[in-house]
This record gives sequence, structure tokens and C-alpha cells, in this order.
Amino acid sequence: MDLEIIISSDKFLKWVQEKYLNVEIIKNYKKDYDGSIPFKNLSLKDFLKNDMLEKLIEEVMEIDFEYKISDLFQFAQSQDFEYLEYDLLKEFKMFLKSEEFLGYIEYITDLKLSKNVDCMSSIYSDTDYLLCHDDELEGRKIAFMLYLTSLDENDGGQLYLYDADDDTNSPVNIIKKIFPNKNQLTLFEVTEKSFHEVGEIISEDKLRVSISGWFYE
Amino acid sequence: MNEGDYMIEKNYLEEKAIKQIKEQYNNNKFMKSISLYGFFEDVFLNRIIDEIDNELFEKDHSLMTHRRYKASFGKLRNRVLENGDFLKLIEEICEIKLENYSIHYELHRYKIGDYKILSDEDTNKKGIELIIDLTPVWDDENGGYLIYTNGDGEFYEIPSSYGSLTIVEREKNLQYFVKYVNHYAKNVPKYIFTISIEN
Repeated sequence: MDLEIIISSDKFLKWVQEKYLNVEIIKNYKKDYDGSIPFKNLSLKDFLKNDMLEKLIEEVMEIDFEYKISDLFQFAQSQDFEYLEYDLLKEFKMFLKSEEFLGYIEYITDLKLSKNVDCMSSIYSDTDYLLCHDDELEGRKIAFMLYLTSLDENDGGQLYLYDADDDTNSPVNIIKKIFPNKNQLTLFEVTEKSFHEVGEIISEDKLRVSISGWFYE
Repeated sequence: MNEGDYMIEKNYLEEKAIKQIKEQYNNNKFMKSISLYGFFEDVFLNRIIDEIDNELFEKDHSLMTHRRYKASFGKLRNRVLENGDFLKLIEEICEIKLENYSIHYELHRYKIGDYKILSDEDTNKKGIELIIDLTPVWDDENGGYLIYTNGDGEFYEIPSSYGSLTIVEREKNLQYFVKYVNHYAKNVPKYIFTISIEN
């Protein structure tokens, strides 16, 4: 789908901030994505229109979350938006799997994506974490997260991206720290080396709330 | 008096007690196991804790499976495995002859941010696992405790208790993880000494 058509579509005009509806700017983001380290990633600040974001947050805060604990993680997670009875959340998921949005992500990432998209919300509160892993699962191509709250260094909850040892194919050092920033869309390519971690929340009262999921081939 | 005389809490060495322990060990439905609280005498533990301070710990980071520090701590291995009462107790409870097994041991130190997750490599190990908790003060709210899982999504928690000995029979797919140590642990380390008795 042509980029011009994508960014002038009703869907984009409804959901996405005007500054991202510009071909030249998207080209620059594509360059940023291609040149990023330790593996391809991109963060787009203030991505959604503010009124849509606030409405999304309102619905997200009404969802029933399930608290999940395993050897690898501890946080609360919702069901996929497709299975929830919230109109706007469903519409948001439909937007993510629309030809237009997939075309937008395909342009930036040079990947061919299907309409198979996972989309759920998670809440990390004090002491919650997600240890280092690679996200790899058959067909997963792009991981995304839209942050609904902001946290700083004193709160924890950063997304850590690791580089990898080529011989052992294992994570080595944290190369990039991405701070949760309200209304920031972060993407990264899922590969056998996309090692990442969500640092422990060390704030008693702040929450790390996000909408996240994956795009598949 | 030699050292062995004040290593194990005397109540655990009575024949009646050993019989009961063996019964409980065999009757645990999740896995053959038992935690013996207050197993080691205070005098013995105090000496061990002093010795831990002199151990040289090295970084043991393999982020996809564990993040911690380790030391071999052969002194503790020798003390327990050269103690006749200890050997007799283990052999009787687990119905094994230790001389037929190979033995691996290691002391692990877990601080804030440390963990051990489940690993594919550990699923097929069989034998007996002995876990000695050497952390004088610890709140399990901080993480750092052990949880055994049987591969079917079922879990069995081993609560922290200073001076306890946990005996577990390792079956296929049975392995433990150490819950991530959170920021409330502050600077307090958790010490876990494990002895693996393998075929």
C-alpha cells in the first residue's frame, strides 16, 4: 500500500498524531530503525492523538487483569483485546491489524506482515519484572509496546536491550535503556538475538502500564 | 568432643525421628522431599557463616538461566559429607548408598536482581538434591526462595529457613527456580548451598 494513501486514510487521521503523517519524516524514522543498535528498534514519542490515548487509558483501567508469576516474570496482564468487551480496545486492535497500519510498519521495517496480531495490556507494579529473553516464537516478527504511563530512572521499569555474543548466541551487555514514556510507541525486530528485559519496578506507587503485542509474518 | 558432635540438632538423629522423616519424605505427593527446619546446630552454623565471609565468590552470570555469584565452599561439603550421622541419615531416608553416586556441590549467593530460572539442560537430571539454607535473616517477600516445578505447571515452594536442610529426589522434569530477588532485599545476600547426588 502506498505510504501517501496510508497516512491520509481515515484511520490514521483518527488515531495518529499529525507529525507522523509525513512521508519525509517516516523515511527518517526508517533510517533510524535500520541503523539502531543492538538490534533494530525504534521509539516514536507522542504517537497517538491525545484524545484517543486518554480514551484508551480509560478503557484499559477498567479491564480485569490477571496477575502472572513464573520463573521468568511477575506482572499483571489482560486478555487479548479481541476477546474483551470494550469497543475502543477492539477498535484499536482492528486499527493495528488494518492494511494501513500494517503497511506503515512494513514500510519502516521492510518486513512482510500478516493480519495475525497479538495485542494486550500489562501492568507492572512494585517489584514486578520480566527477565531477559528473546521473544522468539514461530512467525513473530515485530514486538511493539505503547506506553500509557511514564517512569523515570528512580521508578525502574525500563526496557533493556542487550547485545549478543555471536558464538554462544547469548545476551552480554545492556546497550540501550528505553524509559516508559506515556504515548510512546516502541518497536523492535524479533530475532534469535533480540534479548531484552523489563527492569524491576522499584517505586511503591507508580505503575508501568502499556499495551503490547506482536506482529507476525 | 569433635565437630560432628555439634553439627546436627540431636532430635533429628533419634531413630524414631528418622523413621518419621522417611515416612514424610516418601509420602509427599508432589515429589519425594522433606525440609528439616533447624537441622543444623547454631554453633555449627555460626562457624559456617564466618567461613562464608572468607570465601572467594565469582560472578556466575548466564542471563538466560541465572544471575548470581558462586563459590565452591568445599569446607562445608567436607563437613557434612564426612559426618557419619549425616551420611547415615541421608542414606536411610533416600534408601541409597552414597558411594555409588557422584557428588557436585556449590554455594550460591543471590542479591538484588539475581535469579535462577528453569533450564532445559536441568530437566533430565536424576538423583538426590540437598539444599542447605545459610541465610540468617531473610524475608521471602524479597524473593530468593526456591520453587520446584514438575513440568506440568505445578509448583512446590521451599520457604526460606536458616539452618534448614531440604532433601529432594530428582525425577525427570523436576527442577527448581530461585525467585528473582527484589529491591526490598536491600544489601542482604541470600546464601544457598546445594549438593547434587547424581547417578
